[in-house]
Amino acid sequence: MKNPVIIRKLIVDERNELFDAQGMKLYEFESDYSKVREFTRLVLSDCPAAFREGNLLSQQVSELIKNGIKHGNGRDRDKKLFVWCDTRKRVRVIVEDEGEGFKDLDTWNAFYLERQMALNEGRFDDFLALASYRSASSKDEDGGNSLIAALEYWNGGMIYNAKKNKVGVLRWYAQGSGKE
Amino acid sequence: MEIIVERHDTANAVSVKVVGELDLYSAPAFCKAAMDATMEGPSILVLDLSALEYLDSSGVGTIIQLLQQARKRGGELRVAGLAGSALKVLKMTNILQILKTYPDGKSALMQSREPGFFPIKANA
Repeated sequence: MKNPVIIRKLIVDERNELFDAQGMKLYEFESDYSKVREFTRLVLSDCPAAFREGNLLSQQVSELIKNGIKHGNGRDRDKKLFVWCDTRKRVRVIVEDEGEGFKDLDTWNAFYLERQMALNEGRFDDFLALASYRSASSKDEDGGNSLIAALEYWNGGMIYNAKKNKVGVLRWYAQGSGKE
Repeated sequence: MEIIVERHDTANAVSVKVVGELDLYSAPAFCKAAMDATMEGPSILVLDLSALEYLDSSGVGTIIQLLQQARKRGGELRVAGLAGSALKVLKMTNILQILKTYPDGKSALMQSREPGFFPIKANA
């Protein structure tokens, strides 16, 4: 018997509780692509070590900030990136850009379904061809896989607002932060 | 990031070692170095990631490109020394499942070529 295929999806839900920013710290950044890692360090500066998982959390938050600056705001320095973060009992992040929104969301979901089916059915050449997401605006240096890892990593949800220029994510930890 | 390229003519291989971080800023240079290293025809490309401290989606994208290139030219990509969060990122993107992985660079060079391109079977 074959293993079940788990297919996750990017979801739009304007009223989702992941967009409730009460009690979260707000950071406002210019769209400076050269400072993605620096902004990430700032956002996570007071995050408990137990939540960091080596540098995995930093990598995942960095992807959200990179996507907002690069794809959302198109590296336009006149456009701001807003990041809300709360690392008290779990990690919750909201990232909002001033771009036109992630228009390809449905196309991306269809791509991801096809990719995972290829993997599950052992069509490895097909899977390899689909390993990275490519749209008309993709550049060679785009990894094309950040959302795939994000759906797996943010185990409490990953939700877009109706305009698709704002994403809310949550990661739970079984052991808590270790802080009282 | 530092890139160390070593040719191993007897094994028909070239190894490319990354020291430091493979991220959105350094991935393009690494990709070029690794592609250039296979231009002269070694059949096996060994990516030695034992000294890799950070891997993001751009780095994963580079590994995918190198795998696609190896497939196209009838060569083989071997990934050595994966650990920590880099290993987790490759797992989360399902790329780990189609990589031939080895504990270290030495063992990646010692094994002769095996038939088949991908290491796993469907639904494994």
